[in-house]
Amino acid sequence: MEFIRVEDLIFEYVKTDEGGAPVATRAIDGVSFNVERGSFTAIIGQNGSGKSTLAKNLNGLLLPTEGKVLIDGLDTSVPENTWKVRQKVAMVFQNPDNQIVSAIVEDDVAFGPENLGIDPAEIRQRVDRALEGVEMGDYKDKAPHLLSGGQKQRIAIAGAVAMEPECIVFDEPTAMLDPKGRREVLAIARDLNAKGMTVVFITHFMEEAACADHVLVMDGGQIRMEGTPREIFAREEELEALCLGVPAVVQLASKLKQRGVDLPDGILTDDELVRALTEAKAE
Amino acid sequence: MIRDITLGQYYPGNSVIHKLDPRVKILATLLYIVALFVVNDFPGFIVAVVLLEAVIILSKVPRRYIWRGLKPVLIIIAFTLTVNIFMVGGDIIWQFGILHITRQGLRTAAFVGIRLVLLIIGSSMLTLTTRPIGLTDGIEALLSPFKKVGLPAHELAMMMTIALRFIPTLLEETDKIIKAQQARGADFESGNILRRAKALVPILVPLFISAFRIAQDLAMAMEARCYGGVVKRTRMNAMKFARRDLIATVIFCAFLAVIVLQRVLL
Repeated sequence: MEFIRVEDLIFEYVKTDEGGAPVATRAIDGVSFNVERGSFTAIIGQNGSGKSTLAKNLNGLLLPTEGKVLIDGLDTSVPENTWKVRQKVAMVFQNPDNQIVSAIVEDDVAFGPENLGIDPAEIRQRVDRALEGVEMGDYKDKAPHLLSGGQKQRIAIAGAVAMEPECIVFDEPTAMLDPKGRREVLAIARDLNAKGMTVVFITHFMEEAACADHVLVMDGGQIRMEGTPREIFAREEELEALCLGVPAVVQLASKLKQRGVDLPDGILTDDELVRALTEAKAE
Repeated sequence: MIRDITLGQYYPGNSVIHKLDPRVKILATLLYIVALFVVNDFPGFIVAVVLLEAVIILSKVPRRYIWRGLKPVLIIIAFTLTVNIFMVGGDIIWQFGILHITRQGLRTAAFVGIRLVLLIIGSSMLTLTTRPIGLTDGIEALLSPFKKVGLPAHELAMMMTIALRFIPTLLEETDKIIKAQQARGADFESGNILRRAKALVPILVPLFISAFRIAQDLAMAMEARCYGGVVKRTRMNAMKFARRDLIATVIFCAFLAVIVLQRVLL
């Protein structure tokens, strides 16, 4: 069942030039796709490919210039739907510092539910649960600026989870983190997905896209490729033409195959490669 | 160095003072400050010190935190003291050229010094024991009677919350910019005042730009979390006027009464 439906979406940023005349820059140019309920969709593409703009169109932060975005059947461009849509689709942004509102961790996590007008006792429970979910329960009285980037991003995720959305859009949540923080954030996203949350994960790290059920490759505001990670990463040359690579493991596997090592197609993770290599050796 | 500033810092704790209703604490702090200016003899100051000392002990805030808040203003205190000692006329105790110290001068200087120290410690006890959200909720509640005359109480409180939250972030940003400009050969340490003030421009311009960028990001993030102003908003920790607040109020009123009576009667 589809949860997000994007139909012929066109989005233009409008600026005024020095003479005061409006100048439109097209960031998204005719994009259509669906996101299934409970799926893990990754969107990859280089800087300026329109992926962040697309993300902000998914919960009504930006509204389509043309075309439609339907969230669970609700049109984002209808003003009455705005709050419902934002409650259904929560968002985690790139910069961990600039999305934390309050000077105390648990107060920040409570910010979303407070805006929804939820009963104080219920907010308390949600905040505790959300913080436990990202393993930050011990830090609930701390000041966010004393935490590491990865920890701050986990707080931001808890803030999104506490709103009890049906879908979380991650807009390059790992771009500003160190490798450890990146692993933690990805693990939490996968964990949420395993518990039934629909996840849209925007990234330019191919290793992270390899965890998805479904991958969209964007370039110049359009979707250039779409499919499972296995299908996408098999098309190494096309990806390279878009200035994107494939995960290091995939690259390694294909180089090994060129050297004559007998390996199956479609290796995506370290574990798969290790297993395939041990089997190849056993034979 | 710049990160050591502890303006409005909160010391997490679970003491009676921490648990008091922020509205009570804010009003008490304001009245305490007023009381400090009512007092004009040593017994009165002893009462004020005893009350503050009791609050510090009850709050379990380590003294080095209080000391840290006091340190940056020591220069100002020292300056005021010097001015007062030498400028007040009266019975001369010591004289050297145009400089002279009078008994009245010493007395005024001592009072001003004690007043300033108590004022700073008193108000930092408020911020040290009240979480920022409580502080802004309290201010919002205390200002809400003025909503009828068009005062945007909620918006003001939200602005304060965000300002407190972003003080460390902006300090970090300033630190980063200073280092980046130094790496490019900027010189902030030499030259006269005018030159040094000029040297601040390459810090302030990027800082403003980055503040605007942060504000834009934050506005997006707040919108994404369904922020829509005060409409139908609830609070996780709603303020409650409990029994301990009543007791605190009674004790504080007694303190005020002692101060006022002592001033009027003696």
